Amino acid sequence: MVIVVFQALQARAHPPGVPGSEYNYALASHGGVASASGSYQTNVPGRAIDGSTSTYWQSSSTTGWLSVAFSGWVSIKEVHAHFLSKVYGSLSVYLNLDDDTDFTDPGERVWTTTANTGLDVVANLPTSYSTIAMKLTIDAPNGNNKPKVAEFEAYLIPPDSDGDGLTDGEEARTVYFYESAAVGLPQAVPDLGSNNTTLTVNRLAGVPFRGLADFTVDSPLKDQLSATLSYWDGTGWVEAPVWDPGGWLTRPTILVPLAGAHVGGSVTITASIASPTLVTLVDFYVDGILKNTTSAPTSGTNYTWDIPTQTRNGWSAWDYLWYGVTAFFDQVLSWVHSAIVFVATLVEAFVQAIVQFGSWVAQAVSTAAAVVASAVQAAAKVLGQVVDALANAIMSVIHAALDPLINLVVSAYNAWAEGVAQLILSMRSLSVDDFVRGLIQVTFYSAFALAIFAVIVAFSVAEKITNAMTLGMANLAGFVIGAVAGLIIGMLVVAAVNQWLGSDVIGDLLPKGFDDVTGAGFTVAQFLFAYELAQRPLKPIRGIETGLKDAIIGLMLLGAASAIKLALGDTVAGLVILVTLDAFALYKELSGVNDVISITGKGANLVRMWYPFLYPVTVAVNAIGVATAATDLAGDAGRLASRL
Amino acid sequence: MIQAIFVVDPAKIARRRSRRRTHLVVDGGIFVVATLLAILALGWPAVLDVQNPTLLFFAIAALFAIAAYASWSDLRTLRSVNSVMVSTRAFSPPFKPKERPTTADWSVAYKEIASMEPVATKGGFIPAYDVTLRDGLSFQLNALDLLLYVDEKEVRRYAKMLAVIRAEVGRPENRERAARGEDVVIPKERFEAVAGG
Repeated sequence: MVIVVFQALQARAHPPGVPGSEYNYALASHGGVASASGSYQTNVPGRAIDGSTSTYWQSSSTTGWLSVAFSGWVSIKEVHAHFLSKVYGSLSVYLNLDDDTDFTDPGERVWTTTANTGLDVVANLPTSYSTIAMKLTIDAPNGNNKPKVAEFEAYLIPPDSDGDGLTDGEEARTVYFYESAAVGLPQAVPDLGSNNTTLTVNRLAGVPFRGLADFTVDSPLKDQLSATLSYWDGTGWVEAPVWDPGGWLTRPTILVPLAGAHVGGSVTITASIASPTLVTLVDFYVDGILKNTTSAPTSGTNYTWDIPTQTRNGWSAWDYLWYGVTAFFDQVLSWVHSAIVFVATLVEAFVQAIVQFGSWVAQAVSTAAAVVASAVQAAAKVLGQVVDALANAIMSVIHAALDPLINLVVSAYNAWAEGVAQLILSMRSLSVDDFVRGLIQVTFYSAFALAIFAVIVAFSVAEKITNAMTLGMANLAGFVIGAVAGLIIGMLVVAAVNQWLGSDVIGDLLPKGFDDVTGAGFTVAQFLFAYELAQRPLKPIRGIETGLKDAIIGLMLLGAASAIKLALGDTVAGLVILVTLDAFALYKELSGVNDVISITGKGANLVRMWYPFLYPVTVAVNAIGVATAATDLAGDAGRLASRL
Repeated sequence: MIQAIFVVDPAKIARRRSRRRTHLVVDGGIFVVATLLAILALGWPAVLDVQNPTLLFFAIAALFAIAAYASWSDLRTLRSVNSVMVSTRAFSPPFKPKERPTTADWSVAYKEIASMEPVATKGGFIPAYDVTLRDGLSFQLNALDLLLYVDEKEVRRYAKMLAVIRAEVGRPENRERAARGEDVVIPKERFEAVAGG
């Protein structure tokens, strides 16, 4: 006999569990008790150890800590924390290794990071620790968000599925048994079909999970014998066949009805017994519930039970209605869920294609700008040395003025942006009236606004001077200025698209450092565009006008959607609203692009001739709008699909 | 007898109107989303997991404002779409001015035109005119608007027709006729001589 003596921290003798379902010591159902630095609303610490990822603990501040006291001493090697919505880069894990009331002793901080990039955090501890409590601290905030932890878990790795302190591998390699000798052996073989012989063994204490009967039968008629092991399950004796070479104890089979058959009314269930000699009664169960017991076979091997299946004779109209309505809604909900998953996946795939298209359009715009530049140079050569020199002089003046001007605008823009940020931060303490007044003040009485007006005035003066200098060639000068302005705007737009798409495909087309002025430059473009609309006697044609309006309304929608995104968490309802708004915005943008493409296809030369500034800006704004809307829709639809 | 000299395919006009109607439906959708968001935010904030109520308030207000502006703008755009035609007695511009927001098609009889002044010219091509009617209404008539429907060749032809109309309504005898309230008729041949058949 082998006696194995061990001190299990969780002294239970369980079989190895299902691989992949490791034992989580922190669960409340396993004895864990959670506490935290503070909680927001009803999201208390216990929700992080309830085994449900749809509930969570939320800190009352932008950082905080969450701890779990285990049911006793446990051995753990891995700690998991599943965050929701926001990623926190700086985290630490502490263990209470000495059963005091704190986590501050040397060596109790067992894991820390400042570079976490995921919502699902796995703290792989340097070794397995015997501990009585663990604690997670969020060491640095992520914006103004309050951290949410869906689940906080502790595991012994390699897996310990049943939590008894022995790994699954150890349990699989080792058999622990308690041997008890039977009383009264040997026994004579009983008479065939008439007697049973019962042996008893010394009763086991504890919670056994396996029984082993080890006996020898000395008889030439083994196939006419069988043996059954009985045990007490706490409420009654349960018999389990352990030796049945003759197949006497085989379970009955159902002859009628056939598997999968649809039946109704009164149905006769027929159970067939292969070896009826030892069978005295047959129990019929439905869904695990005993429904009928019969001890009278209808034939030599068959037992039957007449079951009255559910008839609707006794149903009221309300029963019918309720049954129909619930079944209908169950089906509809199933369809709706499938449809939402399908549509979200489809939209994600579709908008990915649109993003590619937007990227292509942006590239085409930058190419068009290059083509315009080439055309200007070619025209200058043809017109001779004088015009060439004049154009070069104008270009030099513009370039010389442009760099300091852009620096000025960038500085002013940064100051303005900081002012707006400060204003938004203090928004909670301001009335709506004060907020609007503050916004107007910040916008129109800032250095940024002055810089914008300076740019507009500079372009206006440059246009007039150039017209005067070129005398009869005013149209050409106007074209050159339009082309130069178009190039600048084109590059700004390319930079903006490049930045928003996060792609470097078109970035090489830009001058070095151009990305730095993208934000300010785009705003300059908007002001210049407004100036162009206000000053030109020739009003914008329809198609250009509607294309721009649609694009701007789409961009405004995206702005509102961005604010909603910041204000809401990652719930399905919020994401559905966001995806809807993104889809509306994309429709507006695509409609605008459609108008512009239509006009371009029918008379691009005419439009370029009469709207040398307005036309490229319109194309650029439309390209930006499509790319931005498609990118937003792709992101939000992807998040929704993953939530579903 | 009125003879049509230039007509844009009515199916193209109908398609444009249909597209703008779809925009109105989308604008209605924005209203619905904003309303739904407001109801959820007020009644069931947990469904949305509201993290910043103030920001959400401003966003919902912005959505309502955007929906209102988009509806107003799209309705105006829809109503401005007009059937395009030039005949011997009147013409229908591609888009109605904002002072004529009718749902029906709108045409201008030549006798109603008080003046047509070119807005800009390049190489003899005049794309647009500031038109003033006898009832005081002024609007800009731009041949390039037609690029939504027809190609450059047809736009140039239409621009030449506008030049013919301007010349004809400016002739003293036609001005006198218009002043007496009589119809001003421009013979088809005048158009064909300049703009082709």
